[in-house]
Amino acid sequence: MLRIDVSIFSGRPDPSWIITDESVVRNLLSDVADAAEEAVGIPGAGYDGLGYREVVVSAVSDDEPWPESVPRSFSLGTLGARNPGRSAELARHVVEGMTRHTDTRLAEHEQTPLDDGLRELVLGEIDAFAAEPPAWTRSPALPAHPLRTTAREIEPAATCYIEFGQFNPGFWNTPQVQPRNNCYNYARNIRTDTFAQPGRAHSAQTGTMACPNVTNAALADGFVRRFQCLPDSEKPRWLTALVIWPGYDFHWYRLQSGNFWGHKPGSTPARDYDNSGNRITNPETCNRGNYRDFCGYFYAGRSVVIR
Amino acid sequence: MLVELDLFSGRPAPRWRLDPGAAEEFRTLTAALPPAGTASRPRTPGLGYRGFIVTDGDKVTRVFAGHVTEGTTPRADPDRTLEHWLLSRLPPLHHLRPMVTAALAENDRDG
Repeated sequence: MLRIDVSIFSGRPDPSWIITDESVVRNLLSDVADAAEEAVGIPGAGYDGLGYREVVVSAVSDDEPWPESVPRSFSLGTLGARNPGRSAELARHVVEGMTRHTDTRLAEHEQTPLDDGLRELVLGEIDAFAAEPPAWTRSPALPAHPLRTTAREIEPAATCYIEFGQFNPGFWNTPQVQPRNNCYNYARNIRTDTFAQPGRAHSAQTGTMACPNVTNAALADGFVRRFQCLPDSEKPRWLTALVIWPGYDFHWYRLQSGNFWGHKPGSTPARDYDNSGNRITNPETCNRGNYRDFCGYFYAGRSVVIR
Repeated sequence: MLVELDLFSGRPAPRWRLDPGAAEEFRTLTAALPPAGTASRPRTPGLGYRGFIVTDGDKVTRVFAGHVTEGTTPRADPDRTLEHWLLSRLPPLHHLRPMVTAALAENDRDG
């Protein structure tokens, strides 16, 4: 289910509705995912004056299937998007369906009923907003793309592009997610609820906790060594780091937007600090306890499958 | 009664069951511990030894660094008797015993 909130009014409740039709949800999220880089903005980061501002789309539950490239709450039809025109097109598409989703009653509907008049008003305002965007001088509070930014990594032999993900521990630190997902899930940035193990998805799991063995298991899952550049089709391409507690265990880190590293030790909360409580700016030198072997850096692209 | 050694990051935590006699002894030892008062729970280190988690039906007890949280009830165990008792019942995971013993000793020095 999705919740839609059109940010347009000042005094009365904004138009809001819940989309319960799974096929509509799926199609909408698919369209948005395809255009995420150019059309998606962060709620509240665009125009914030009087009149139409944005259409906010949010997950209603923690376990809503969600495209990896899209945050669980995002805005369309916003000046916070890289391409406001494309963003407005998607917003329009969402609002066109407004009156088909009245089955879930919200308190807002008493003062702002979802009728054809409201629908036409919002569509007209979106069109006007797109045709002649309001003067907007406030700098965006956050990057235009909410989940990740792309950056170049350069070494003498290669220039690769990677993505930096926003640090979002709230996604991981819930009773449903935290106990069943570990550092490997965090590094790949995918919740499997299986306490994922390197190589397990490809019958290449190892019981030997040493750099070469765990590295090979991760390579079997699709990780590649740093500076083996991945194409754009592999976006998001996360930069990760593997360390080993020799003989006992492995651990992974993932580079976040802001030039620091996030990680999730076992079933404990995701975090951005090391065993000394310091924010991790270098996984090679941070306090890692017994995980003293640093195995190297790896890219994890879209096609990496873990289990 | 299921005991989990909260130790690893990537690999699944070692788990084992206490036999009925040992389970009863654990309940008795836990019930004998005094309330912890307002002392806050010790911060776990993140990577490395983070104590034991004991599940008894729907009751979960966390044991770490002289602090025992039984459900929502905090208890004090300044001598870490419960932690050492659980360590002594580590099943055939002999390779882990010296390492957890060392972690306990290190906690003692730091604490």
